[in-house]
Amino acid sequence: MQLPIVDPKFIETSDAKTRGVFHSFSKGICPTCRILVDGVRLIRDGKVYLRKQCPRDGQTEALISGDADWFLKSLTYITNGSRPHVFSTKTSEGCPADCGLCPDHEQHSCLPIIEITNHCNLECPICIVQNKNNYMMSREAFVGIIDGLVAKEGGLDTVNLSGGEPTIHPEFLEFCELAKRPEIARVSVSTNGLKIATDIDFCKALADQHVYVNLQLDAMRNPALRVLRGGGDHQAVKERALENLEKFKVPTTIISTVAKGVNDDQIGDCIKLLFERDFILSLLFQPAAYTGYGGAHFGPHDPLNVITIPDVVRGAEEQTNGQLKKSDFLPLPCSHPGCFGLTYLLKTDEGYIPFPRFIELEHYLKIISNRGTIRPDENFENSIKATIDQLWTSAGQIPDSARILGTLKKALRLMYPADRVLELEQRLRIGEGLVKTIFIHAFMDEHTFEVDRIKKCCTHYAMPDGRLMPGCAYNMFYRHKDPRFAGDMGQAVIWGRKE
Amino acid sequence: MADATASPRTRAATKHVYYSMTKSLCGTCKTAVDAKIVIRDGAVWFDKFCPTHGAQEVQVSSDADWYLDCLSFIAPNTPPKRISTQVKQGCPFDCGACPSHQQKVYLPVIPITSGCNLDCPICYTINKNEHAYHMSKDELQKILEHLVEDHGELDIINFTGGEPTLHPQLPEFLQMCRDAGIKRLTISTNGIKLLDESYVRKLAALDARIVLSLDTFDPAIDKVMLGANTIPTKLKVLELCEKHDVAVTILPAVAMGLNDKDVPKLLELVLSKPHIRSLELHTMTFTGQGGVGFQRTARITIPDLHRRIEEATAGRVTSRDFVPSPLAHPHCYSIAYLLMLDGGGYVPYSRLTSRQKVYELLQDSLYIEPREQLETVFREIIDDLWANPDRLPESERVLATLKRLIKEMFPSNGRVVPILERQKIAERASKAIYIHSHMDEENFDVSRIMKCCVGVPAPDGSNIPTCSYNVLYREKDPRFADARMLNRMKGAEHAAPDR
Amino acid sequence: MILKDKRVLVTGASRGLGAAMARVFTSEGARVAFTYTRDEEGARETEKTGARAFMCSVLDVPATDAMVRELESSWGAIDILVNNAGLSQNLPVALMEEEDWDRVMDVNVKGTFLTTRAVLPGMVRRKAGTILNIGSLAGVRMLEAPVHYCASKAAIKGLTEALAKEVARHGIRVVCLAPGLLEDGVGRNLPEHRLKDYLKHCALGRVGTLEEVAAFAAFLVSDANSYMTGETVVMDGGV
Repeated sequence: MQLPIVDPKFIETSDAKTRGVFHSFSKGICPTCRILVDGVRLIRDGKVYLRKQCPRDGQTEALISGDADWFLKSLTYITNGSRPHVFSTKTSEGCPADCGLCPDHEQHSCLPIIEITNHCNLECPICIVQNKNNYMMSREAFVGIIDGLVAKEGGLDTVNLSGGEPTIHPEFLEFCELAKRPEIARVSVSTNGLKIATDIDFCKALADQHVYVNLQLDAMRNPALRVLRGGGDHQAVKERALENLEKFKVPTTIISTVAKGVNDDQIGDCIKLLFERDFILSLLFQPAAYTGYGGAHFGPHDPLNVITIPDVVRGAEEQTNGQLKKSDFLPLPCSHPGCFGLTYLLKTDEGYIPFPRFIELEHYLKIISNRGTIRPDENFENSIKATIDQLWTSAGQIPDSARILGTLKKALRLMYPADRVLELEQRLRIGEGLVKTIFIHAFMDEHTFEVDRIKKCCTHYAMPDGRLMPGCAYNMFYRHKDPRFAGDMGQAVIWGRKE
Repeated sequence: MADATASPRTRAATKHVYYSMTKSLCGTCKTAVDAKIVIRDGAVWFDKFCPTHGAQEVQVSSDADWYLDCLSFIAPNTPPKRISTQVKQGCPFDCGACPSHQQKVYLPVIPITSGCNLDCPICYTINKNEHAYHMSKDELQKILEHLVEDHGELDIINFTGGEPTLHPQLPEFLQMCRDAGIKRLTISTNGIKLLDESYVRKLAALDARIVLSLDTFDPAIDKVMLGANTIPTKLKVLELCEKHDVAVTILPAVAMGLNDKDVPKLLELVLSKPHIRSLELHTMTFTGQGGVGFQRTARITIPDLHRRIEEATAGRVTSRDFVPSPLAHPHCYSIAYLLMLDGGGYVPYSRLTSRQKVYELLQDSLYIEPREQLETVFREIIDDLWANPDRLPESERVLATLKRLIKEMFPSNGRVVPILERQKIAERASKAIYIHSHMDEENFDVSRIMKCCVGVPAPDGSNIPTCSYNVLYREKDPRFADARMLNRMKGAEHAAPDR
Repeated sequence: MILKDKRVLVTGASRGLGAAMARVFTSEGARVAFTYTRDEEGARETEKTGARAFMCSVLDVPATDAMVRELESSWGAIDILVNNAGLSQNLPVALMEEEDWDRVMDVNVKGTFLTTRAVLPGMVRRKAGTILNIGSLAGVRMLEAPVHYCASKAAIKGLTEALAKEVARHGIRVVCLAPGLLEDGVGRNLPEHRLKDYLKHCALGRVGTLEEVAAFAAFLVSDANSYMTGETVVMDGGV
């Protein structure tokens, strides 16, 4: 059989849409006491709910997908994983008590995250981590982590520096340099942009060091920004940060945390930003996860009414005047299909065209499978060539085929010039100029956690002791007892606040 | 094209694809363990890990296509009205039903006695012959009252044991069920007591249906599986049932490498005799006084039986002619109906109409009942074959058969045909093939048990799903837990050759 | 005794509505003769009410003629003819062969025509007579019933109207009675849900009894009903 199964067909009884449907068992955690509990996935009114039974705290329910069709179709959107070369822990107690990674894990680290500090200069109400302001990673520890990653992974597309706010680490720029390895294609930093907005030399240094910036930018305007990030003129900071990044042509990803009833009407604005600015390579939407020092107490929060991946997809369709459609988005088959959604867009002279509209799904999947970014290697070249042939012979059956053909030909010419061989990195840069991405990444919280999903997680927090912790498992079970953060809370220096 | 930045150690893709996770049981100690559902070499496996007994795996389907195809069938569920127990240890240790159970009882399977007159090596229950338990009329009365109260109108009920014909009051029990309004009364039996023709007459008068265990035509194999050559007895019993027009289902338990070769002949037997209504194939299951010690090489899965049926019918019936039951978990039952044609031959319902329609015909009952819905479907079939005769090679013969049936069931002149007689006419024209897969601790899947619609009811109104009962509860039930048998089972578990 | 001394011929009266009419007409003072084809047992039952049996198919012209001659000779005349013989077949159009169509049309329509043609000359000679054709609700309104049956009963309605016009100048009345579903009628082996559906639309919520329809038939053919001809009267409990 051919996996992933694209566009699977379903057979339903005549009353399947009007009555509740039990779909499957799923192991979750009780949102009150956090022990592992039995859950069932139920389809109701076109959505999917996780209903759990805790022996102590009784029954709870949470929305895990705002679109049952997306959910059902995503289940068979699966493909082989690949395992790391080395596992750091043994399987002894059973998932998720043996992180990470233990040999039971199904996917390597596509996206390792190194939290170099738990200090932060904001106190975001939606923060999903626990900033105790009492830890700065040492240089030795950082180098050890990088060495370990290379040993475990072989080759890495990206390494991400995060925190807290990583840019306030005194050795931040040195760390970026230390992370430069032939095996690591990109170094990225997740930041709120305060330092970028206020320190132009810092911004230049980022550019010089070829650092990719993931800029936190949930909305364009203050009211929503304040609800999510706290008091202050965030709008001005973001605008300034964008200006500086653009000035130095720093390759940027915009990260928008989408919370129901707060900024879910600004999805279209973020997409517009992506289309209008060349230096912005991609857009990442994160449906809000209600965990951590901020998120666990964030209101409004109704677990039965939250943003999920298909809700963002719908928002993208509704808020871009039909420029984007639901069918342009697909799950990512290499992680668990419940974790990621994405679309790739090809830049042509007259605008952006989503890949699924002109490239056969089979080829599309070859390109994106097992990696979160397009890698211009042999697979890619073959798929592009096949697509060109198909578009050429389809004689106008695919809209805009002429336009697309032109762009693809240009891409091939640039990436595979006749007179020399380019390095993969160079090809990546060229590709970046022609392709943009919209990702949707759904973190889990105490209400939506499913052991099923964590087993194929590819977003891992890297620990100095060599362990790699699947992100949501770390957030649920390990972060609060991480010995690095033990001890009293430190003194926070919050932007805009007088001491 | 050499890739200068590629690492010398690139990761290889895993040989399997991770699909999802469920909860199963350790094959040794029966504690709950996570089971990864993985697709490997076109088959589906549970990869399990018990903290005490380590890693273990079992093949749950020899064909991944079938496994995923079943999950593309969506049907609503009707949760039981009565919740008898609380969630304490989690599924499947709180049976009764507990709040996690998702489906009411459609087929009560009542063991009315613990005694049995055989000791089959494949026996999947536990039989107590010393101080054997016989259900009292009172107990049955209470059970019937609770069943009707909690689960509404009952289409069908099954009496089993041990060997139910050993219970002296079986005929009275059947009458009690009739009085309670239950339409289909079935008795699962080895047939030995039915050599007594007066007994057969009695059962015929009560319109009871016999589910006769007949596994093979090979005396040597019967010795291996049932401990004796029971074939001549059973063939004689079939003759007597034919003489007195008792409806029969042939039920073989199929073991790989032993009697799977008999499937063609068993099917032929069913198709050739009008009083034999259906063939019900059970996959070998390793519970009970015989099952726990039986050679594991006998494990067989539903798609293996599809293949046997395909071979037996030279492709006239294929796996695509089967559908799951909408009332149970889609992996539990695989069902095909055949229309027998005048003049010989047959056509699967799925080809007369569609898989979708056959699935819908099963959405209210485990067996297709001759109701309005069936008439509507056949009206559509008549019109469709009349208008598109080339769609099926047998169109003309199908229409002729249906015309004959209509004339017999709805004569315009002559006497009034009572509804029961009409049903008999309709039933005689069709044959059903049911494939049912009981679970043992190795292939236990809590998703399946949560949607179980079959159960062992008790006088206090509680109900335990059959597979849970077989694996966990029967051995603690003083009515059936025979000390000698339990000892034998323990010994067999330790000594079992190829586990 | 609204049919005192009337001489009535009823076709197809070994069971059902025909038998009921024979019984009721006799109790209203008439002398009744009837035809049957196969149902010996039913014919004997009807005979017990005082009626005289003739084994004669409505399609058998010589036999019909002989019967009419015999009745006119022994009774003197036939005052009332009731064309009741008819049958149906529960078949969807997809399974209806030419022979099925012919059978129903022949017995129901041609049979009515042939019997009427045999009896009419006597009525014309005496300038008196009443003919009652038994139709059906299915021939008047859109029902889910076999197409040949509906066609035949609609034909009966048309035949009634045309014949009434033609023979009125001889003082002969022709009417049609169109009952809905009756107990022991051609709809006796309908599937349950069809019956339920019909009753759902029936104001009185039940099938008609043979008695009440036969009683009304007696009135229709009596002298009291002197100003009605060519009319099709529906008796269906309010569908």
